[in-house]
Amino acid sequence: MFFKKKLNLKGDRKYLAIVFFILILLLISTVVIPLIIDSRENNWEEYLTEEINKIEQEATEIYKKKEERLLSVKSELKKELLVVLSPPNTSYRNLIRLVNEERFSDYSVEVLAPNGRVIAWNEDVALRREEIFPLEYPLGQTYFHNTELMTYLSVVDTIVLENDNFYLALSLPIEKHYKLQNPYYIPVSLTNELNENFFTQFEIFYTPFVSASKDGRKFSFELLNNYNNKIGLVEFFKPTLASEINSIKQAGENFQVFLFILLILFSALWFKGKFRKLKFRSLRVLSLLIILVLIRVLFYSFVFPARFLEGDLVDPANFSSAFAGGIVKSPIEFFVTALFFLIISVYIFQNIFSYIKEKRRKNKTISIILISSFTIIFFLSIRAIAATVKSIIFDSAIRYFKEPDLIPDLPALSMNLNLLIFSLGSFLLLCGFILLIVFYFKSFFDYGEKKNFILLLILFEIAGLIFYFLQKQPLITPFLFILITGIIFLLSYYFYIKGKNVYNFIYALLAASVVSIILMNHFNLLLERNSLRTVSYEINRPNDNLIRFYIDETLKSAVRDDRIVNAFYKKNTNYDALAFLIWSNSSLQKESLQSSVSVFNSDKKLIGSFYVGIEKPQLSDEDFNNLNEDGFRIFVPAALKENYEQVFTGLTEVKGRDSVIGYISATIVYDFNLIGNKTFPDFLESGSNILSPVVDINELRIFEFTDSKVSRVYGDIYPSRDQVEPIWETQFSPDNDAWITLTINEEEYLAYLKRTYENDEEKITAILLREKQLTWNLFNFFKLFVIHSLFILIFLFLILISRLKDFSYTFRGQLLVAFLIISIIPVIVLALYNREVVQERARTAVINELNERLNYLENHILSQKEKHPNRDLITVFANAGDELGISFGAFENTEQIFNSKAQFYNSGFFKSKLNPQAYYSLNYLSYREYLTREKIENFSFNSFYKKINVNDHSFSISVNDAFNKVDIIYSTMDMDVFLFGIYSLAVIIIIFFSAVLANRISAPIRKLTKATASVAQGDLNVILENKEKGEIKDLINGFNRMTSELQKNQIDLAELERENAWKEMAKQVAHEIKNPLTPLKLAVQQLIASYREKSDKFDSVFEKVTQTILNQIENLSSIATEFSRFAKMPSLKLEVVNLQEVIKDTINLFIEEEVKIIFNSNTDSSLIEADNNQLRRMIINLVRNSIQADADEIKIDLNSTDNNFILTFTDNGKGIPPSDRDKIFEPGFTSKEKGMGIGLKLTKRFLEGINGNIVLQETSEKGTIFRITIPQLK
Amino acid sequence: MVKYLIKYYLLLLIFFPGSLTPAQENNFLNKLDTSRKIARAQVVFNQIENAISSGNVSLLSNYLSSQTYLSLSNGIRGYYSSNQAFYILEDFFKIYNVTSFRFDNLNSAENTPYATGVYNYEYKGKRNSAQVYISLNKSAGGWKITQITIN
Repeated sequence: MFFKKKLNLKGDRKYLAIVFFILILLLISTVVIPLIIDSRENNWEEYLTEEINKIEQEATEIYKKKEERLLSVKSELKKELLVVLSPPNTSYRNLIRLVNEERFSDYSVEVLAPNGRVIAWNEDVALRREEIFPLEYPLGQTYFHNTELMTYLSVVDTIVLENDNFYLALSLPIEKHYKLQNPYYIPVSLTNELNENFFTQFEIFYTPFVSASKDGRKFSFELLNNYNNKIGLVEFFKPTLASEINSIKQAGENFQVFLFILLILFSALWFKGKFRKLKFRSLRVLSLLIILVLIRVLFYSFVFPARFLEGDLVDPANFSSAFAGGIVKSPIEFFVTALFFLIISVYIFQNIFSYIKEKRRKNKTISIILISSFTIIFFLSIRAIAATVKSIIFDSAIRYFKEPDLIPDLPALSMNLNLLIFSLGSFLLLCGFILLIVFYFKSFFDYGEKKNFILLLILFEIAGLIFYFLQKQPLITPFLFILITGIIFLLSYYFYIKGKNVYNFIYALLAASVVSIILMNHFNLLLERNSLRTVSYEINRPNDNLIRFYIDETLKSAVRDDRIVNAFYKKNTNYDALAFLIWSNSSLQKESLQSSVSVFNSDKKLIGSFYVGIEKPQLSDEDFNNLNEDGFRIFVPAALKENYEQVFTGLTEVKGRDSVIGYISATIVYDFNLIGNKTFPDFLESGSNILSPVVDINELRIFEFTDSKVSRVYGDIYPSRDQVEPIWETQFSPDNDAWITLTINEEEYLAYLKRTYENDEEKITAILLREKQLTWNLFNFFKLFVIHSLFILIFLFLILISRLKDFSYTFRGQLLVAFLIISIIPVIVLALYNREVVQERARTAVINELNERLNYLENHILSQKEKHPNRDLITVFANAGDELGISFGAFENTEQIFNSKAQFYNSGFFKSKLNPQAYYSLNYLSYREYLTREKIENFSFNSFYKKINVNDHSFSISVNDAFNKVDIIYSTMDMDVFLFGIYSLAVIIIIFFSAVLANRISAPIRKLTKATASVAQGDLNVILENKEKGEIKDLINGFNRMTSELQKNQIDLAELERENAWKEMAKQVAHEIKNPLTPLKLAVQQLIASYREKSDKFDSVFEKVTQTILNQIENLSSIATEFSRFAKMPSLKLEVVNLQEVIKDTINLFIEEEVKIIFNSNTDSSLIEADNNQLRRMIINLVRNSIQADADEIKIDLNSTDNNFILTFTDNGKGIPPSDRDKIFEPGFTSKEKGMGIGLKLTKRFLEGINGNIVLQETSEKGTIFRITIPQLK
Repeated sequence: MVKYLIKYYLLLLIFFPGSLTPAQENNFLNKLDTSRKIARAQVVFNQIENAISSGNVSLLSNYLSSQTYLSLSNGIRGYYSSNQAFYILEDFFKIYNVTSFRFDNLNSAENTPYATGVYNYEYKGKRNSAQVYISLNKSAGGWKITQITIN
């Protein structure tokens, strides 16, 4: 406060002070950072010790928190199990329910009976019975339980019930050793958690039998359990001085950039004050433009805000364009640029708007230049918008129309927001250009606003078509151009008619959204077409070299991995799991290749394998021959050569300390018929398979011709010679490709042709995509519109919130809310109901399909057993699965004894134990069938269980839609898009019409309210235009009659009052004058008598009488003064008032009048001392005078000088005739029929009463300007 | 009045060149290549080797095609436009700081030239290595990279 007063930090100066302060901080930082670095260098050894201790301590804390969680859950569960297991409350149902509760879903829970049998478990079974007993660690102690795929932190404890000991085993997954490049994969890794928390690399050994590393670059510490026993070892690279200095520099740089950004922002705030004072609008626009461009460039140079962010928003894969050297190279950079662009656009638009409303004189030459310039700019801008939208589609990995969720993830959401911001900015600019063009067009032709717009629109559409044909590579079709131009003209006309209004932005946003989605859809179609070329690349990409590379990389990485090599030494290693581990961590999974990994022992016997998309591979003894000197070879396996087009197998030795301890092989298959990975389960699919996800493989048809004959076909169409005839007549480009259209079975297809030569044979690959149907385009439209409508509604909501004060209790507001409630609630209910119905139908379809499959299986199994009673059960199951093509599992009691996809279960990726709920339902509740949702990673699927009896032996069989996909015509997401797309459009239309209706219905009431307020302020000249019907018409007529009567009565009353006043005054004057007259008369008579009598006392009488006369004359003078004082104006009630507020408040009274009142102020504070009522009356008088002088625009400017406020009233009325100019402030002067001629006189008197004044500054046929001076409050 | 209008005119002319040269059209990476003569695949691989070993993507940009397949060890995988590929690789080289790189197997076959090598890098103070596979394709504009795999 002291400093504020001392330094006079008022207004903009405070920003300057902050800027100065930041500059000092910046200077200090440049000194301090090198000092910190020096100090760190000098005390490095001490610091390193501290830092290592700190890392050890914090890393241990991270581990300990997990342990605490585990132990706390164990205690909680143990307590509740005690209740559930205690007689007489023992309930198996409650036991199963308890261990399968959602709160324990992160853990693996097993409850064992005193005899060691597992009696309850949840879906994730970490510990098998044989892994629990004998106990690895004492009861109650935590320890790491390792499998090939996962490490758990486990604890086993007892639940003591009378004489029985039940056991509880609880495990928390702590490290997943396999990785899947897949959206469903849930990473679990303590190692990664530590890596992310500290700027170094960690390695964790989940076994107590590892000693600390002897590598001096590393530091190791032990992981102790809750009984302080060693259960593992953590190893990390010690921080280096170089990396420490780098991180200090990085932190210092970030701090300085932060300060610099603050500096820029506060400088901008300081400049805002100066900027407002710029006289010319063009200068203000130019200044804002330069400043914002400069700030944007500075932000970009300092990598702000990207340097403070990580993840999807800064990922160039989500969007990156080379525009302006990378200023939009990521979604966040695009957002910042689009925001700046929007600010500039809004400012330019508003200034254009004001400009065209103000200016009247136009130079024809300038008009021609400007019309032609803006026309060219308009066309180029549309091309620029199209190019930007094209970039959003083509330079992004986001597939906007194929996002799996209704509300997409952050990158897609942010890019949609960017698109909307950019489109809104562009639309405002384009509307601004059209308004300017229309404005200048009026210099030549003026057929009225509407006709001018229509004429120009026609001219623009024609010119646009010419522009289209002039372009070498037009980006959009003529239809799209006509559509966009039409929408912009419509919007511009609306803005022109309605004038400035914040809701204009909502309309612009809606139009921008619709157009941008249409453009997105247009370019997406183009991308889909281009993707045909990508498909041809993909078909040719997996050549021998690449397949060999993947095999080489997979095998070499495997034999370098200590975990893999050490597994060969361990007892009880699950080699199927090991094969899955190698497969999942390699390119075989990342590239979603049809492939396998097999593990052999040193005797070349197959001991484990994992395979997907191909048969279980077998290697012969010969295949192990001819390994190179590194014990490695890649070859074409004889067993598979006949079945696939391209197949390679790699084989490598696994070397132990001094001998070969085993072999690993990997096989990759590539076959034209396997395109699309239909055999690949979704939960393993990486999403980057043979085709880019732009286009659905099922929509493609692929033909390959060798020497003009069909050699291969993909899809359900085998083309006839006639159908593909156009291919032979096609002219190929120098790159040996071409685009053509083919008609097959009366359907149009776009075809990309690629010509290659192999062994002197010409090979043509044709990739065909069916032309899109309208319904599909509508789907795409709604897919994005749902997201856009969310942003539009949020924007609308923000506007309403900002105007809540004006809005909440108004009649219009209440009407609008009522309309919205009545109309939106049923729409939402209907949408939710429809969604529910669709979901239920989809679910029923899945259940029916799965049920049908189970019935087929049951019948097949039973009929096999009937025909072949001696056939063993496993063969029966395998036959049923193979012959029916259905993958299923069979369980005996709780254990799986067969599965068609055994490799997934044998590896431990899927759990082999029967679903506990299914077990309970089928075995305890005796249900015949049981349907449930299960999960693998984050992939949910339906599992259907059924109990069957084979030879009086009970089994459970199960099918699911993870391996047996059930096709639904429209997925829930598809229906969501349609439903919510249509309903969100409906909601926006409802809001629009509700607003229009509420406005329309409430308009007369609002008019009447304002008029009543004006009357209350003393303005009786208000007359409302009446175009209404019914009661409202009568009400307005009544109001008009009332005001007219009031006005008449006021005049009559004033007249009567004046007359009465005069009468009273005359009476009083007569009475008062009479009083001194009598003594005067008597005195004069006495003087005359004395004179006639020649009295001796004449002198004394004269003296006395004259004195009396003088006294009475003085008396008369006093009476005159008193009367004069009585006739004076009432005294002023002075108070402190805010001039701006009074002006704003008063001009609101004229809101319904056909006059536009613009109020500008260059001052924040405008306190004066005045009579509030008289001040309002003064403003009403001046505005009313202007209206009565036919003005349709009044501008009120409030400026502050050193001691005064200058208020300028400028109107565009007919002005004051020269003969009247000198008389306007005289009482009784008026040029109006009903005027009393006291308004300006009273105004002048009021202003003089507060030491102000009013002068007529200028008047002509074009308008009048009054200049008012009012002293500021001291 | 005239001055006023001319100011507006100049203002818009200054402002608009930016938006008239939009991203997709301003694809400088593609246009740089139009007049370049087709070099031998071997030469192109040498330049790619230099670019990767110096971590300088600009040297690589001439060879990025409109649809380049990238498969990187940080999880990036798929087809990317030349603009995307440029910035993705720039970010990758910045984070996985190259310590050395060379092609150890180079096949300049006429139709399907490819090269493989080892990318040694430093990440969070730890040295590591990744296998590299790069293949080229000849188009009318010259050799273009069809695939970069760094696993």
